[in-house]
Amino acid sequence: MATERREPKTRDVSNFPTSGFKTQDEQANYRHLQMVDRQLFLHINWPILAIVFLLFVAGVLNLYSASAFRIGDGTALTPFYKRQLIWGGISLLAMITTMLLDYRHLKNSAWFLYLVGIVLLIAVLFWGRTIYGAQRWLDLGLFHFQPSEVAKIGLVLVAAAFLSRIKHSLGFKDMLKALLIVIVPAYFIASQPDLGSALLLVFLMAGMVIYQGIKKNTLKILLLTLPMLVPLGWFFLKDYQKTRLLTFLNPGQDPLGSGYHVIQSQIAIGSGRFWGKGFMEGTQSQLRFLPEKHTDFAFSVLGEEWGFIGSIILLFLFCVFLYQIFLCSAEAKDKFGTMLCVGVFFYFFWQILINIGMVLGLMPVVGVPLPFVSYGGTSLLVNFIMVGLVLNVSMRRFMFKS
Amino acid sequence: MAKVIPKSKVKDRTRIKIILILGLFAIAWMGLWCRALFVQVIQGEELAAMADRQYYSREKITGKRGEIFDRNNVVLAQSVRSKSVYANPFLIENNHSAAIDLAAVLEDDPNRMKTLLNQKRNFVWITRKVSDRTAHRLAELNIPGVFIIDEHSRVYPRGHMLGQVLGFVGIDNQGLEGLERSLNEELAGAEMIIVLQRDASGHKMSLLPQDPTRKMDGQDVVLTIDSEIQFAAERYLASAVTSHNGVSGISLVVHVPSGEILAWASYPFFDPNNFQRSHSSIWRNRAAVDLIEPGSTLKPFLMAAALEEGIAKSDSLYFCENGRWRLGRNEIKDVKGHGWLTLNRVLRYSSNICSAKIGLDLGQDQYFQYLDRLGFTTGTNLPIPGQGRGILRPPHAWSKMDLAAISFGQGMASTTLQLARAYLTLANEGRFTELKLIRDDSRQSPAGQSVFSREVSRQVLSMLRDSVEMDGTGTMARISGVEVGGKTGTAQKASPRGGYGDKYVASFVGFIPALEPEYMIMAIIDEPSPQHYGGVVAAPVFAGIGNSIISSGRGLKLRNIPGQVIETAQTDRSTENARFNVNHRRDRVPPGNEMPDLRGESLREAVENLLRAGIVPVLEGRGVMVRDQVPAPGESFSENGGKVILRLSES
Repeated sequence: MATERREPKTRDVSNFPTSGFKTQDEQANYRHLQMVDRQLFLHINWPILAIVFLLFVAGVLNLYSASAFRIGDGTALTPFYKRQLIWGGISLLAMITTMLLDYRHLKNSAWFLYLVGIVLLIAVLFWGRTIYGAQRWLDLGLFHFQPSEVAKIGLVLVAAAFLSRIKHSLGFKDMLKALLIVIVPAYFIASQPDLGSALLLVFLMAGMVIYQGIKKNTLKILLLTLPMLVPLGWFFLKDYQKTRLLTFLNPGQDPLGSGYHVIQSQIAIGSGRFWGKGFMEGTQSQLRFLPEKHTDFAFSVLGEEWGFIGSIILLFLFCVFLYQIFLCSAEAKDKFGTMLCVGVFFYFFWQILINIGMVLGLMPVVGVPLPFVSYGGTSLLVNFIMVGLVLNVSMRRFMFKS
Repeated sequence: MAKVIPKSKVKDRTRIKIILILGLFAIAWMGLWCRALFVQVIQGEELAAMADRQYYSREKITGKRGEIFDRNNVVLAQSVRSKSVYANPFLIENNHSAAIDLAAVLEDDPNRMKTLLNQKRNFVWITRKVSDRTAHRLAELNIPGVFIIDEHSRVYPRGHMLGQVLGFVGIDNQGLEGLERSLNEELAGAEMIIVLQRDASGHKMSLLPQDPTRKMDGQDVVLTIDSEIQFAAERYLASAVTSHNGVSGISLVVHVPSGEILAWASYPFFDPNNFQRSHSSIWRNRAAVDLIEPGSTLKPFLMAAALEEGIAKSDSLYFCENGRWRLGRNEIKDVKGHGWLTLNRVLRYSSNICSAKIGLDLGQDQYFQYLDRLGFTTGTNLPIPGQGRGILRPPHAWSKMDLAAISFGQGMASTTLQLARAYLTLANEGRFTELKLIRDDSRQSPAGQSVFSREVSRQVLSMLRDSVEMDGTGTMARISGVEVGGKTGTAQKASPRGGYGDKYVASFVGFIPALEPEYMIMAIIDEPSPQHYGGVVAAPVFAGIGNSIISSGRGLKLRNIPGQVIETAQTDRSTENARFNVNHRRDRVPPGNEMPDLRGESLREAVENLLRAGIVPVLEGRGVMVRDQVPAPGESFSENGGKVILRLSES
């Protein structure tokens, strides 16, 4: 029910040319679009699109391999890669839609989207579907839907809108506001519990805030107090989260229990060695030693089958991808656009860093998927929408001179 | 935007920001790269080894132990698959409750289970070779870390038949006694270390082709035993021992021309199926191991030697001193006093005194030479462990009295097998003949040297015939319709205190038919009382066994036993096997894309079969057996949208 309130908005956009215009703004925009449509098309950031395409293809291939030869419980044989392909198509449409709508309008509707996200998050607390002990999904009949993903888009938009209005480095008051903006959705998400996504939101906000700049005094205070706050955070963690942290510090202490994920993931990646075992040859994943190989540990499958070379190439692709987004942020013609790109940059940056760091055993196990590579419909959709936002900013970089 | 702050400063700040972010970015990425390098290249080898360790398990598998058949392919010993239970204590979550559960099902002591499960090893036998029902109940408990595997256990479908000869095997199928022990090399399946691939939940998959396992099975052994005759031999022996209050008994049936042992019975019977509940005094193969004084049954060889040497003729007269004869300080007695007797009557009435006189005439060197050539100083070639070689001192150590005693079968000892072999030689026209127990045994020696001439052996055989068919000691051995010959023996047992006590060994050796023997039958009954004469106690065993051979339809085959590849016996064997379900693994994937019938197969076999056809099945339910399948057998693989479902059950 909560999602339906979001539906008309997107439908509005997709039916744009035929349906009636609601605001003057949109009318103006439409006229504008018609005039510069071809020009906009020319300004699309093709490198980003190409890299996203490569990453997506790599992800699907990886999923294809990961879902092969599972002999065990029945559901395991569901062809994940097919679903991922379908979701890829849906996501592509969503991305194009996102690109069509001038991002400046989002500045106004950002808060609305943000609120919708929070309402959905509250809804999931009551009507959510519980899978693997976490109540993260809303059942929409055809598929399960993760409101935390909407909240991520909402937060990026709101944070960009909020920070773009501030012309100076952030003072203490601004910091508090920023904190408030992020803490509300993060709290709801953390209580699902989904610590990974919650941390991602916090880090995302932190990245944007750092980019905006902090006043010297505020920074000093923060640098002094934050390290003291970290130990306090321990008491807010759930037991299994504490175990994960302890396991991270000493994975060998319970190799068949909490340390299992990390150890098996390392074995998978490490046994790939320099050249890898080859496509569809990943014994670790096919013999089901590797847990969550479709989702959070997809990189392990890749590392096992393609070796160090594969890992380096994937990391390089991500590197170029992030760098392109970063360039977009620098080229954007207004502050909102810049901040939007920065937000998306950090959104991807943290996810990639946390996921690969976790899989490589550099970080504790936190449920964060690897963009474009991990299986997950909603997450793919949101990733493409995020890319759509960047492309949106990028293709309009020569317009709307302020 | 840049109204308050100077433009250059804004640019500086922006640049700092960019450098800051890119720096953070670069550090993070360098970190990931370095880590990937470390894990995949530096630690790679070690981690790859860890991966191998968890995928592959090395298992020792042993091929099926060969089976033992009688000459008509009746199974005497076979290997049957049975379930054994082992545990990996490291995988058991709760040792205490697991121990109690196990003990309840196995009806064992919980404390013993607990000590087993507390061991710091990853393999502990819980119990071996349990019934399918117990295994099923254990499987239902589904204790993590407790596993059930197939093993082969040895089964002797005929119970105690030929028990002492067959012997038995230990829990690991190693032969411990009897043929199982002496033929262990042939029978034992080869051991092979195979590498199994294993997935995370412990399902094992053999990635090897199936053929090598088949070669690992041990060789089957076919004995010369005929289980029908064996049955008769056991039956008459048992009734003789019990009705005459004997302690134990041996009966032996040998096919004379070939030396093949057709029956070999020892009483009390021994059932190798549960040797643990038996005692070595029962499973000991008396015929091969125990030494007896042959007594009167040795006399025919003395006569033959005397005849051969020309010292006596069949009508030579000997004075039997009316039953008492003093030789030096010793006195030799006959059961019944006789006066003058011809040679054949000496044998017929079994006079010790006249035998001693003949022996003295023959001389110790000559006599020893004959006994030696008859095999009384060497064990038989039979593959029976622990065989005795007899006691026969060299002739220069014999005193006059020794020579006299040995002449009527005392003061020396032999195994029953040695005695049987000597009779076989006598019956085979004097040609030394080895006993055979295994068909197509390459170890058998070719036709032996001639010990007695044809005429002499025939003469002795006719004397033996007379002792049964006329008024001799062996009249109770008569079989109506056929002329038989034989010799009784009633030996006093040497008492532990020295000298001879009041315990006897009653024996009888006989031939059917008397002059051209086809069968030799031997019966020895230990310590019968109060009747102890061989002619009374042992001769009826001969008659009983002989009767049943002749009336069995096998009858007299005029000195040869056909190849015996009888059609019905062959089918017998296959049904026998089917009953124990020992059929070989089948490859059930038919060509084309038709679904094979996998119902009732084990999970592993079904999955392997499908994988070989390139199909990955979906498994439903728990268990190790395939209960049902979609698509149905014979349908196309793609019937269910390409999805192949196997529904499982525990058994």
